Amino acid sequence: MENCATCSIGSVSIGVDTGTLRSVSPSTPNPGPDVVLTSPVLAHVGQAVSHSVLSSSRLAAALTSNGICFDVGPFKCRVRSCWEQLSDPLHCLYADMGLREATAVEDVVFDIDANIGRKRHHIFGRVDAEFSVAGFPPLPELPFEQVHPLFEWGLNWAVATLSGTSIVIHAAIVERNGHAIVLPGEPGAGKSTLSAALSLSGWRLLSDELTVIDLDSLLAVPLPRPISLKGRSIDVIGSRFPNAWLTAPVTETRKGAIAYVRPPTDAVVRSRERVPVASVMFPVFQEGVPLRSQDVMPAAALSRLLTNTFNVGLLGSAGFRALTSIVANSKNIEMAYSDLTEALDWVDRNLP
Amino acid sequence: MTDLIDLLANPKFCAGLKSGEWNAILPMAQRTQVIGQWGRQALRCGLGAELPSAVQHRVDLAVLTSQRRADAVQWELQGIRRAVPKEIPLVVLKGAAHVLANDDCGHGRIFSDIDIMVPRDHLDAAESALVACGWQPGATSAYDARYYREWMHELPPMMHVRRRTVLDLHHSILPVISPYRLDPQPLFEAATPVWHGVFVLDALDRIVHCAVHLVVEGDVEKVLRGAYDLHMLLNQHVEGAGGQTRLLSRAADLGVIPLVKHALSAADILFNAQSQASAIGTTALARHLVVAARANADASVHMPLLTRMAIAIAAHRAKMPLSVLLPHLLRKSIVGKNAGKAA
Repeated sequence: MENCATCSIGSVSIGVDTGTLRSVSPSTPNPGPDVVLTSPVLAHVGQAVSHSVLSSSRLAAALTSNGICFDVGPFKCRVRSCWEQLSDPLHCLYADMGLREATAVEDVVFDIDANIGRKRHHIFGRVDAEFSVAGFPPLPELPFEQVHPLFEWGLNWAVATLSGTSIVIHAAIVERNGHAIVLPGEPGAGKSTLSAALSLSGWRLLSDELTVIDLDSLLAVPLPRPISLKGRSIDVIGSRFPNAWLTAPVTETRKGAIAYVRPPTDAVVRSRERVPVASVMFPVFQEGVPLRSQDVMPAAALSRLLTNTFNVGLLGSAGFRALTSIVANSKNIEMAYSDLTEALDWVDRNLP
Repeated sequence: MTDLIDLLANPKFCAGLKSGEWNAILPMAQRTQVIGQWGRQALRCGLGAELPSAVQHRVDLAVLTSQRRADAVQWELQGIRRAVPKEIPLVVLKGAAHVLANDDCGHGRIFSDIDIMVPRDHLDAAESALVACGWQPGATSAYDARYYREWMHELPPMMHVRRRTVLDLHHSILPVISPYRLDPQPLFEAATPVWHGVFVLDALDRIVHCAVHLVVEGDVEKVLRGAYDLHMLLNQHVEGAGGQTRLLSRAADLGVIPLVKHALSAADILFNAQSQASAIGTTALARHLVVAARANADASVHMPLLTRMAIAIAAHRAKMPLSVLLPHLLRKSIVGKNAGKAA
């Protein structure tokens, strides 16, 4: 019988130098030594950001004691960890998300209460980092240098699982003027690059990874979080958006390098604004071809969405009916592109 | 400070819980997999408004998951009923049975395998019919095959080749070689139909099975959940001293009264269940079960080694006489854990 949430997010292993943050600018194509951010002084001032008044060192102390709290959309989260280095990326990426120290006695009941601890396989083995929620580790442990990506993937799992009473699709989702575009994460789609670019170009980010749609209202639930970029898209986004905040790339992953972009403040501030799905766009990245788009028949769109829905079994017929309704009421398109600028222009002009 | 066991025993305590207490209790309720059952019980008691949104959300998720499994099980059982020759009665046991029988403890409950009991004479025919429609027999060594077919009350778990659902085919609820010589015939005779050809054990027998299973399973991590199932069944089906007398009498008829008494005593100590402890008396094993349940409910409570051993030994001894148990354990310790659910 099927499990509640069968997502396999976070099966990548990485070698990493976590917790360092830098801004990438076009004048430094080969970025210099990483700078550990110890204060809110910014090398590049992008859009106005509100900063947590907490310093990274205070966060580190909190992390290893009562924990650090933050919000992901409607979910109240707390994380505790013996790995202090996690406090740096938290400080930089989650500053707008209600980041605070947990107190010994909380007056909030947490939706997600995570812990990243130590795991050692045998006496002389190395010590790994392990992510767990309610004492259960959903993901394999990773070398402690990879504690930040492990945290992000663990959080993906926890949010996806907890959203199981809603539709949870492996897709990015952005919004403008009250209309949301869903970008399913089929292999080779370039969803991450496209959604990051859209988020940094005036579209509001709801999520780069998890499209959660309420079953009753059919409205998409914003869950803005750091955007993950892989491989070449790190440089593509970094050079195109010099004012964006990126973590230092993690280079030794099975899927190439990984970096995280801080979510735009606007997206976080507006995370209670739920919107209907106006378009489902299936992007296909194809080197060297001119941009072309075609309509996708509703039945095909439905089929492809179902394939990408993590909890399709759990939702049963109610989920099927809801997705049918969404597809029937949205513009369903496939867009093949090779040039990011062309793709962004096309989206701006044609969607919703 | 209220803990999970207090809450299980008295759902109405949730009204007074502070956030800090919920933050301690909620993860334990998830970990022990009682969140759905407890949530449904709280809703039955009209306590929905007292639950913080984070708790309500977790309950909703557990209830949805449980409902989906219940749907899936009913669908599987329909297929199994079509596959197995009509003259062979199918008696559903454990989790699936609580769902079919509409027991309170079945609502919101998470379970994974399907357990079915058929008369021993029909075991081979039932197994063949199941294999023919995609249920793969459990892979076993020659020793394991003998272990299961000659000694145990069930075959190695069968897994459906496509859906990967796991099915346990029983012919009794205790092993053939158990020192407690249980004749399953009275269970079949008292079984109540839910559909044509599909039965569940009579309510009292479901309680007896639940109690026996609590002792015989021997898994220290599952004691709280098993005891909570028993508590809910007792609350629903056993009323007053008369009810308890009938339950104990049935347990005696089936030849398992010591096992049932251990379980009833543990549930009583944990939850102050209906049954009166004075009538049953407390046993050393019951006290160990209580210790294990309390360790399940609280991450900061350590599971004593003595408790682990006592529960494991009791489980083994209930399943086999010492003359068989000792060589079996010796073999296991050399060869390693058997595939499937060998003890």
